[in-house]
Amino acid sequence: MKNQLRPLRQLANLTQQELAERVQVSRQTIVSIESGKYVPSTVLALKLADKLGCSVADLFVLESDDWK
Amino acid sequence: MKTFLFPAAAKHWAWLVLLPALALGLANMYWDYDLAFLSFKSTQLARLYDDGIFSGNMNFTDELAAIGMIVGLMLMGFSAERVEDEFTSTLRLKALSWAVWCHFIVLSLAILLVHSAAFYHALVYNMFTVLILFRLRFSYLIWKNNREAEA
Repeated sequence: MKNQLRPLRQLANLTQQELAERVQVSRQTIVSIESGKYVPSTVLALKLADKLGCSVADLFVLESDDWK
Repeated sequence: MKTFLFPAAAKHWAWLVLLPALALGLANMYWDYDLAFLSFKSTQLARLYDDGIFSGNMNFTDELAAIGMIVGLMLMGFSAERVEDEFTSTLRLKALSWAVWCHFIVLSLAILLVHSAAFYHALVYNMFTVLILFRLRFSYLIWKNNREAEA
């Protein structure tokens, strides 16, 4: 799964720490999501989308491998 | 899904329970050290358990040490992190899965390779390996993740 968290966060002019505080997770969690190592839960994905003013579909995009 | 965790401060208490229990356990196992006040006569035990399996005097030093180690290791392994979130829960689950695998691999090897009295010792140590390995692996995953986040 690809995600657009980093560009959308930067577009919202937020640091990783600021975004982490707004969605009540650690900065390490944001780093792991941005690097694609961790796929967040639906609740966290919705929180992130809410704080970045976009939809979950803007943030996360399925890749062909995800269908296998 | 909510998992029960002890407060983060419990991690410090864990050492206060674990270290004396470990020292007591080792002293009991290798130097036959017993705490006198934990000795009971068979008649007292028969009243307590009422099943007649105790034939002589019993001392509960090793039981105290084992339970102390379990409590200490549980406090250490299942205390909340400073920032506890779903990613931390995922790391905890990964570490627990890894520890269970290792525990049973070690146990299988012990069954195959270790016999008689040495096997008894292997079993005693193996009672704690799952919790020890879990805590070590979890700490490593947290450390590795923090290091990557700082890079």
